[in-house]
Amino acid sequence: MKRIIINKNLVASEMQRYVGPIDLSEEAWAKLLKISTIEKIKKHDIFLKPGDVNNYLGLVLKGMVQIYHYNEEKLVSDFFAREGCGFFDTQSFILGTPSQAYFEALEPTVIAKFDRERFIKEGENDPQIDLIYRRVLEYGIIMSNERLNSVLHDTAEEKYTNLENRNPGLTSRISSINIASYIGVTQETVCRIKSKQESLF
Amino acid sequence: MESVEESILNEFIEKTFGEVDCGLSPEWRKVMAQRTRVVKMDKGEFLQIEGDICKIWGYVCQGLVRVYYMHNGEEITEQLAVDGDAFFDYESFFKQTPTTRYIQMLEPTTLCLFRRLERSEVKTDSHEIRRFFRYLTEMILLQMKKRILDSIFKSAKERYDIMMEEKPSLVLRAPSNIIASYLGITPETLSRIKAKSK
Repeated sequence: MKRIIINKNLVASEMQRYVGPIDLSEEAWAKLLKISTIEKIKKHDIFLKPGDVNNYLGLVLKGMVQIYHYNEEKLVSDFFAREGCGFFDTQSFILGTPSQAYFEALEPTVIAKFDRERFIKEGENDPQIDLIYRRVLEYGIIMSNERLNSVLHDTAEEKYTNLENRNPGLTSRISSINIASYIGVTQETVCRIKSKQESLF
Repeated sequence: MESVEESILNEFIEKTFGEVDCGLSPEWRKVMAQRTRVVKMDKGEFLQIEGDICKIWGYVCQGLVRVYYMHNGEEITEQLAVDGDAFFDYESFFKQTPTTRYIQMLEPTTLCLFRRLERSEVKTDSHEIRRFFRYLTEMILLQMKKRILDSIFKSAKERYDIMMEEKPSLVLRAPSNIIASYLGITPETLSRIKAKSK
């Protein structure tokens, strides 16, 4: 594994990749770093499981995190967070209730964790911090709305293309079985879509 | 005395937050209400078309509003808002980018429009207003997650039944091709479901 140097610039740049460019003072960035911790996670480690409370916003600095849950014993992927993606289990994060989700590292991963309570507390005194927090929620709404429309109206092939377009290179980093659990089709269908798309180039 | 805008704002807050505290005092409700206005629109009229930049979110006092976008030459109905419902153009509103959403009246409609706060206003505003917007975005996000899970795990019939239970007037008042699009099914499937429900 290549060494990765964690500094405030990396956290700042990945945060802006996540919620869009933000013009923040040095002081505000420093505050944001103060409420965050950096964590390394081994491949296949599950670092949040049902029953845990997801009391932080995660931001992927390196690697990939899969957010999933089980519905009637079937694994359903909610989201794949690559570098520059934030992630949280909405209900648990907002309401402080026990989560029903799993967070698993699909690769050797480094994340920044921002404590929700401290985020909000800092935000009450500093409008800039508050703005970042609200941007996180707004971005969550935009992404969720897109996912909702995609689930209701897109074909399996469109869902696959959307996933790749939003995250160039993602579909080659995760297994077909994981992609299938996100799109809601069988693994065979994903393989068929994959080979069809590859034959176009 | 309460202004019309104020009482509509209070109604919107009650509908959106229910028992949950929205964190907005009567003084700030007055300030918020000054930023809203009530408009009457005709059936078929557009509040917004593709290319506009969305500055508002709306609350239907009376009438029926549809939010839709074009996808492969088809109109996809994303939201239906009937008496007492709110509607949003999330992406354009939050990012202030040109929209792909059309907002159209399906009936003669009375609307209350809540104006977006400019960034400069947000910086100077009290933390009470900022907290209100934080609570509001959290509420919307929670509701949306629920709708996603319903769309993934519930059958078309189950989703129709939920709609009948929560918004029976919507099913009566909106054209069935629009209801079908909202539910993500074909008009044929919808009429089959309707026939079975009778």
